[in-house]
Amino acid sequence: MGREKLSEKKLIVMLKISNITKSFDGFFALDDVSLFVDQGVIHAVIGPNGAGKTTFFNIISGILAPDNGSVYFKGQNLAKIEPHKIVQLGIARSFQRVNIFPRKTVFENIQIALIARDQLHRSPFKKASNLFSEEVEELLKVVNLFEQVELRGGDLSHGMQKQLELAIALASQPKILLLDEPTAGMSLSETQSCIKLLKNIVQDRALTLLFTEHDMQVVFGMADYISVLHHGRLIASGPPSKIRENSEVKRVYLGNKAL
Amino acid sequence: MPFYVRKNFWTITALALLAILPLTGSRYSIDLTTQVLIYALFALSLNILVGYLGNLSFGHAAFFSIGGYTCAILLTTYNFPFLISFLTALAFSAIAAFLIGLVCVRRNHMYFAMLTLAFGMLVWAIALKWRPVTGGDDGFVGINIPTILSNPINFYYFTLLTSIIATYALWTICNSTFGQAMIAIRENQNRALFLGIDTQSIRLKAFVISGIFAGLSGILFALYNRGMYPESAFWTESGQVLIMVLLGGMHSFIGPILGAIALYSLEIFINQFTEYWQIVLGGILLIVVLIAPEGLAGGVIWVEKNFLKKS
Repeated sequence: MGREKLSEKKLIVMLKISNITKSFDGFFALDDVSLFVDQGVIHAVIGPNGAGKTTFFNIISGILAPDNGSVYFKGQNLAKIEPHKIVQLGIARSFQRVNIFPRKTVFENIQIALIARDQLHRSPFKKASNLFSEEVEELLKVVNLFEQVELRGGDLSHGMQKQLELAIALASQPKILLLDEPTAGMSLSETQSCIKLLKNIVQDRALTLLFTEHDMQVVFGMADYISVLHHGRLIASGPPSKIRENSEVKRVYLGNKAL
Repeated sequence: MPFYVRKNFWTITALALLAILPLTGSRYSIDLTTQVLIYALFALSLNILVGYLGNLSFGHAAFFSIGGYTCAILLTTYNFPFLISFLTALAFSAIAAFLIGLVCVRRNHMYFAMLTLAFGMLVWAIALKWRPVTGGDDGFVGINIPTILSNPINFYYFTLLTSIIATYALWTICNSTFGQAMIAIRENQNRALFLGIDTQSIRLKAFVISGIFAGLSGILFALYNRGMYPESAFWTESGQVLIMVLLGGMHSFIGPILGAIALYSLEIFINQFTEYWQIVLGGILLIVVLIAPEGLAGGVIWVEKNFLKKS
C-alpha cells in the first residue's frame, strides 16, 4: 500500500505502526495492520463497529500489548513502556465515553493535567491551590469553557464534558493527540463547532491528530488522511478523495451512503 | 480582626480552648480530650486512604498497633531512650505500611479492602500469639514512660502538640499537588493514568503516609494507656475508626476530627440512658449513609452556606 504524499514538504513520521496483530480468544481484533501517521496531519481511522478501532488505540496508548508487531513513536519502540510513561513521551488520548474527574471543578480537572505534565504529582509539600491558574484559564478559553471554571466537571452538559476532556488532553502538551470518537453523542451544532475547534487547535499547536469517528461528515470534513479498518484488517489508506473512490471501501463500509 | 485571624477563626478558637482546657482542673475532661485527640489523628490518617484516595481499608488498626507495640517494646523491654523509641516506632509503621501496601495497591476496590483486612488480622494474630514479645492476650502492660509524661496534664499537652503538628502536616499533604493526584485517582483512576500519573506509586505513597500517621496515633495511645493490647489490632478497631471517618464526612479534611469527637460524645451520652449503644450507633450510621453521605462536615458546610453567609 503506497503512502500518498500530502504536500511537497518532506513529511516526518510521527507514529509508525508495523504489522500489529491482536486476537482475543481466537477472534482477530487486528490482523497485520501497518500504517504511518505523519507529523501535523489529521488522520482518521474509520470502520464499522467491531472493526478494531478502539483496540488499535488501546495498543498505541499501551493499555494492550499486541500479539505481534510494534508501534514506534518518533523512532522509539513503545513495547513494554507503561501507559503513564507513554503519555509523558507526548501521546495524549481521550476516550469514547467521557472520561473526566466528575467531582473536581473544571479548574481542577485541567490543573491536575498540568500538575501531571510537570511531574509535580509526587510532591506532598507543594501547595496546589492557584497553581497554574493562568495556564488553566488559557486552555479553558481555547475550548470555550472559561465561564464554567468553577462548576464541577460532572455538572457540565455532555458536549461540554467532551470539550473539557479535550482540554485535559491538550494540557499535557502532546505531540500527538488520539481522540476516540470526539463528537460522539454531540448535537449537530455541537459537532460542527467541535470540528472547527479541533481544526484550529491542530493548526495553532502544530499537533498531529489521530482520531476514530462514526460520523462520515466529521471524517471527511476534517481528515487529511483516512485509514479504513474492516474486521481487523486495513483495507485502504489515503487522502479522502481516494477513499471516497475506493471500491472495496464502498463495498464493505460506506455502502450507498452519499459522500 | 486581621484577615488571617478571620479566615481561621474556628481553628484558632478551637486551639485556644484546647490550650486552656487543663485550667478547668477536671481530670475527666483532660483524659477524655486526650483520647479524642488520639482517635482524631487515627481517623485523619485513615481518611488519606478512604476519603482522598478512595480506597477502603478494613485493616488500619494494623499500623496503629505496630506503632504502639513497637514503641512500648523498645521503651520497656529494651530500655531505649524515649526519642529513639518514638522515632523507631514511626519508622516501623512506615516500613510495615510500605511492605503491606506493596501487595495491597496491586488490587482495587473490594480486593484491596479484603487484602487490608487480611493483613490487619495477620498483625492481630502476631500481637496475640507472640507472647514473649507482645505479652499475648494479657497485653503489653507497664510501659516505661518518661517521668515528665506521667503527669496527665503534661501528657495532654504532649498529645495536643503532637496532634497539631501531625494535623498540619496532613493538611499540607492533602492540599498539595500530591493531594490533588490522590483525588484524581479517587475520581477516575484510568483518566489519571492517562495524564501520565503513575497511579500505583501514588497509591503506595499514600498508603505509607497513612500508615505513618496511624502509627503515630498508636504510639500516643500506648503511652496514654501505658499498655498495648491485641484488641487494638482487631478488625473491630479498624471498623470503629472507619465509622468515625464516615460519621464526620470523608470528603472534607476536618470530617474525621468531627467524627472522632462525635463518636466519643455520643457513646458517653447514650450510655447514660441505655446499654444498647450499638443499636443507636447502627441507627445513626444508617442515617449518615442514606441521608447525609457527606457526614457532619457536610452539615457544617451546609449551615455555613445557608445561615452564616457574611457579606
